[in-house]
Amino acid sequence: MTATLKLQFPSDPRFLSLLRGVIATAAEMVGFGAKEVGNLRLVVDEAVSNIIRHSLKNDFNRTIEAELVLGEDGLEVVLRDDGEPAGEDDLRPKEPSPDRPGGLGLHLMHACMDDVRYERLPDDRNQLSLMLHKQQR
Amino acid sequence: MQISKTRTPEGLEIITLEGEIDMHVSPKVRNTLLDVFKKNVKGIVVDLSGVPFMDSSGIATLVEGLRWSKKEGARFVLVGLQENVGHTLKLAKLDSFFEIFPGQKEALASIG
Repeated sequence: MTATLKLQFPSDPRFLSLLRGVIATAAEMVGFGAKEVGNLRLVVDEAVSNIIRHSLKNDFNRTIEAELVLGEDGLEVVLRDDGEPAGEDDLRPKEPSPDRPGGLGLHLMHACMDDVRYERLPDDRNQLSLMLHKQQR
Repeated sequence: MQISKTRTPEGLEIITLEGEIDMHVSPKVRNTLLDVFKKNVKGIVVDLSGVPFMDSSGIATLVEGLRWSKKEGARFVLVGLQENVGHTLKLAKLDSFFEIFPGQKEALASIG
């Protein structure tokens, strides 16, 4: 099965729960087990939270696009927003520490996914691609 | 998110959380912890048995609680972690920094 879903949703944290539900259903349709489904829910939640917090500076009235590519070999989630570009430091996963409670999101994304890629698109939007393959885990 | 608080005769505060903890909800949890720390408690037990999901904003809130408790000289323990939440804490490599008990009974026996 190969299918692509395109979603647009407000950059309001109240929609995170709804998005997690969509991701979980898509991951189950692809055939991931409970652990991977849980990881995908977490990673997409972290990615969107980071977009709202850092790229959109907590502006809850913007729009975020999500593209879910359900494939035979795994699930790819592509997120796009029209916020501020990410700096080099924003993209470097930080080692978790109780002395620095923030910055865990990127660490969790890299810990759970096979590929995490950020691009600044020619139309000045941000694109974050998250890929999890079925065979590699 | 449902939050309830119970004070034991020994001066311990039990905070019971029910629901998913994400960026939308974690400020409410943080405010609850802040209120409790203002009351000069001997220890705080955070019951997470009703929490099926917690993201890094929730973890960051618990880490803040842990730091406040150390500053105030109070115990800060987590109980009843569901498998998914325990897994997230491990992924975040912060599980070893918390005192974690299976349930309230074990935590109260340790603190009280």
